[in-house]
Amino acid sequence: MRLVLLLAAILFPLTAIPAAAAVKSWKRGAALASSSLIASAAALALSAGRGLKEAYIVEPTLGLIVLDGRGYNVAFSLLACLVCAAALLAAPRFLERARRRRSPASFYALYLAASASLVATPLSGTLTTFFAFFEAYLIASWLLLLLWGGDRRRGSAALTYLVFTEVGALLTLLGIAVLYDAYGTTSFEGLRSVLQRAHPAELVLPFALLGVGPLVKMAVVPLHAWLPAAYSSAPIPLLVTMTIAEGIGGWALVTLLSFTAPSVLSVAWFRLPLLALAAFTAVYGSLAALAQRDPRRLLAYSSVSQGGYLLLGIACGGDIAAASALLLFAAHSLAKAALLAAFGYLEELSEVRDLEKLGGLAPYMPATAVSVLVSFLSLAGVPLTLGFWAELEVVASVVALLARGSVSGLTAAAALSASTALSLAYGVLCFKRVFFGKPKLRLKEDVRSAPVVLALALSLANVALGAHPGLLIAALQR
Amino acid sequence: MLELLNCAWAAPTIAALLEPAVAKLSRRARDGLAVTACAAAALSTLTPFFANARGALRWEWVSLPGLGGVGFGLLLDPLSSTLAAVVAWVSLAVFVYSLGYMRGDPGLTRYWALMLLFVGGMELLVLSENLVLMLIGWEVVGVCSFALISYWYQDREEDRATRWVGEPPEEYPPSHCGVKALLVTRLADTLMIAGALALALAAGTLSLAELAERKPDAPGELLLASLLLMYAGALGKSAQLPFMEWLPDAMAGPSSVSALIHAATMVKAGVYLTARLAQLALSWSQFVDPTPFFAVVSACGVATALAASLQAAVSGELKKTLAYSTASQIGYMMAALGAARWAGSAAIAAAVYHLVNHAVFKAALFLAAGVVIHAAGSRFYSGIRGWGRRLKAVALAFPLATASLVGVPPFGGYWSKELVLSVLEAEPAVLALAVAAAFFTAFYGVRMLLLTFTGGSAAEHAHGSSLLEDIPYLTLAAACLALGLLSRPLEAAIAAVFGAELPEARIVSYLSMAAVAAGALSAAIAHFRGSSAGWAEPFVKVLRRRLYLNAAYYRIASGVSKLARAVDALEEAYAHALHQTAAALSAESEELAKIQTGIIELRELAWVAGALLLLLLLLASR
Repeated sequence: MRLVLLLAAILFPLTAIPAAAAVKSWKRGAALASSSLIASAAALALSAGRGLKEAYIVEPTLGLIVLDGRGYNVAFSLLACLVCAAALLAAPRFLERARRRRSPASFYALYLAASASLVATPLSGTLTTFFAFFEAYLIASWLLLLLWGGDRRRGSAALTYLVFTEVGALLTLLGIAVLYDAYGTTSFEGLRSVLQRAHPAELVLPFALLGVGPLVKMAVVPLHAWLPAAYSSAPIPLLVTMTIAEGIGGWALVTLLSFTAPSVLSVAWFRLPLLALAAFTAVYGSLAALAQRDPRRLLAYSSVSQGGYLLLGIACGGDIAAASALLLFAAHSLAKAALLAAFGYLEELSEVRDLEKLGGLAPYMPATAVSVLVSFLSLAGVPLTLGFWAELEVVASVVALLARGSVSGLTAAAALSASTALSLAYGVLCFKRVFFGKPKLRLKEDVRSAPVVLALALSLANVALGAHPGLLIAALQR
Repeated sequence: MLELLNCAWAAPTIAALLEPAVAKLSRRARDGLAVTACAAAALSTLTPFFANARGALRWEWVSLPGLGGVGFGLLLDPLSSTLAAVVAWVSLAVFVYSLGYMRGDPGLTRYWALMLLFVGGMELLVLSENLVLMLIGWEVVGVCSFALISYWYQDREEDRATRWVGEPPEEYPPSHCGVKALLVTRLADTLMIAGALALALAAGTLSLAELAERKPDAPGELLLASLLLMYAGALGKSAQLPFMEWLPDAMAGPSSVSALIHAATMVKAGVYLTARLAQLALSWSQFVDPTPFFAVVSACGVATALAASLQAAVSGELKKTLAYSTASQIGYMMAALGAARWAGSAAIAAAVYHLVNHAVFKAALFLAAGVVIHAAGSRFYSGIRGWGRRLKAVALAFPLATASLVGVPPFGGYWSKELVLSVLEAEPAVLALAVAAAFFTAFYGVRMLLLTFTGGSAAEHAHGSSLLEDIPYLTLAAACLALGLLSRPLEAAIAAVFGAELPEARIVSYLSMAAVAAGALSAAIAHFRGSSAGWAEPFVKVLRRRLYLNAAYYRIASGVSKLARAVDALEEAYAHALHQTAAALSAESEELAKIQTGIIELRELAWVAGALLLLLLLLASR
């Protein structure tokens, strides 16, 4: 019997959309949506290691949907699926109170559409399949932001998001058209074999165009302006999907630059600007995060910075690129989702979005404090978390590239490594402001409440994967 | 049998994880579990001595793309075995002390969990077989140090006299000190990670045992730069110049934490790493000229030894004196390691010998200091004057441990310092500075004794310390004497296990004794005359401002903060520009919309004009 596990993984959440569109209860909606995503995760887990490749003809030539479950694809997809499902745990809590009068139907329907697209994107075997799913996520997430954004500026935030991501997507589409016109295929594997004979310099333009969409999703400076605006307005579960989308942008770049056309990175005037952009984004994002008093904006700039590190590992190329992208995606998704849950909970309890007005909460909110600390340490690449392995691979790739025979290269690599201290600085300083010192607010956490459980579970998963990173690394075999 | 050594890191780590659950059952069980786990770790560290073992244990753990396999393994050699034993046994003494010292503290479960995790991390650090595992241990102890310095994180005003550190304008609460320690050491650690990865990539292995045996595939300058980057990590962790100033502020943590982490163990991690790097540099001497590396190690070491001893000499707080003293003594060890270029393994043996003695006398001093501060209710000398003599156990142990610190024969510290100075003989400038540091060591040691034991009101009644508190530091103080009395066999054993020929101390010994005597005498004169520093007043002022090094840290932090605000302002401008563009486009579209007037005649006219234009174009193209 032919296995259709990959298609099933996408169809589970998609087929749940009509039912979700009819739900009236927040809790039932969450149960329905999360069970469909768990079913999707089960299908993906079953497909792992089987090397599945499925093709479905929607329309001859360009309309071919190809799903590729080989190598790291399933790992990206499975992680996206699990984190999207986990974020639903806290959705009723975050949205029910804030938007009491609205029916949850549109939220769950759109959330499932966004999640299904995120699950599907890393399974893409062709550029057109990738573009279709990527675009589907953009539209679903834009609608979620527009309809479910939490403040008066959500319209402006949604518009900024739409303009940036759509311009990026259109340039990516242009890149796909240029490649298809020149080489007659959009399949990653087909292109890989064809492009081996192509001159690397010829590939720079199409791959630069292709890369814009993912770079926008990774919020690389200066394409990042949508992110702080979206973080200020978006509901927490949507922000979790945006964090995942950032990593999926990393998947797209790894697939393009490490798998499909590794020779592009041998062109110095392509790679060096990319490296410079990555390093600048990493440092710029951390510095901007240091200056924030609003936790949501701090987390937004932290995502900008993490996007820089993700790009840094990918731009270095070589064997380590895919590993660094996968590990950083996993570490960032788990840590940022936990932080979003924790700070969303704090925001809901205190109705305060100013770090200066918080303080001394550790004795009142110990579980939240532990999850926040673990997650910030993971973002900074501290051991016992998955972030350590991610940072190790990123720094190793930078050292391997820059320090080969050159002391100045090693100095640059060391400077980039030192910039990770900035990630620790904004994380620990934020933690100190909120949880240490004299109590400014008397809040009491309910350890059984969904956001606290979610933040703790994600932190635990971060530490567990930190203890056994081999689980993820094994997925890199293609 | 060597597998038993896994107990050294595993027992405390597992116990740390179990602590919260056990604490729910019984507080006694929680405390008992902590001490038992530490005792198990301590006993297991004796295994290599009984089995007389060397070698490595290794299990496959994870294969990192680009870096190769990372085994979960332990490396047994004289260096790692000695360090593991020192860490575990001093930890045990501190754990027993904590039973009394921390009794009744509301956060004790957190305290035990963090202390146990620290011991596990420290054992992993010194026993690890490869660079990655060592980095894990290295960072784990750093995070535990942060959490334990910030232990009294509520920064209560009423604790200012006992639990804060420094004097205005450089007075800080515990939470601030914890974050400072973490950030300063982490900055150094990130450089170390880059250096470690460069070395691993050059040698094609992450294994510490294999590293020295491989022929590195990299030019000499790159290897040298990599060694120096790794050494930066050691400078940070061991509070050496220029990263020194986090350590005095780390004294905001409980005294038991200061004794264990910031005197006896974690700060020694840098010495351990530098010893490993020295071994590597010596074995790679055909590929890289290690002279600059050793010169830097020597220079940083001896400069810290002198600068920190000077600062200890003017400190107004008991624990801060001890903290500066720690940085200074580690400076001696580093200076000795820098002499490995000439003295070879004798230099490493000297550093390790002094490390062992220092761990013992400094832990004793910190534990006793904790009792004094607790009893007097003040961390300042002005508040604790005379309290030393009212606490009988302190009155016995403190002078013994101080004698070992100062280098008075026959205490352990004397012999190891002699050995350190002997290996420095080949470098006269370094030796001269080290002797000067010995003078100031005696000065601050005697000053500390006099300020703690003399003066004050005899009428005041001392809070008694418990036996659980007294026994550990009394034992450690006795060990200072025992280590001194057993110096001959100990030196012979160290020489044998390190394969070193230890130099005989001759002129150096007299020089050092003279420096100690002069320093002690100067301190006594300055104390009893009670006059101001006179001509040295400007110099003292600079020292009291911590050589402006601490201020430099805050300047750098302020610079980063300004840069962050500038980036934030740039972001606001960017967002504003986007809004402006959107508004301009919107205005333009409104202008364009005006074409749509709704007047049918005009629309028809435009339609006809357009159609005619199109027709004309078609005709013209023919």
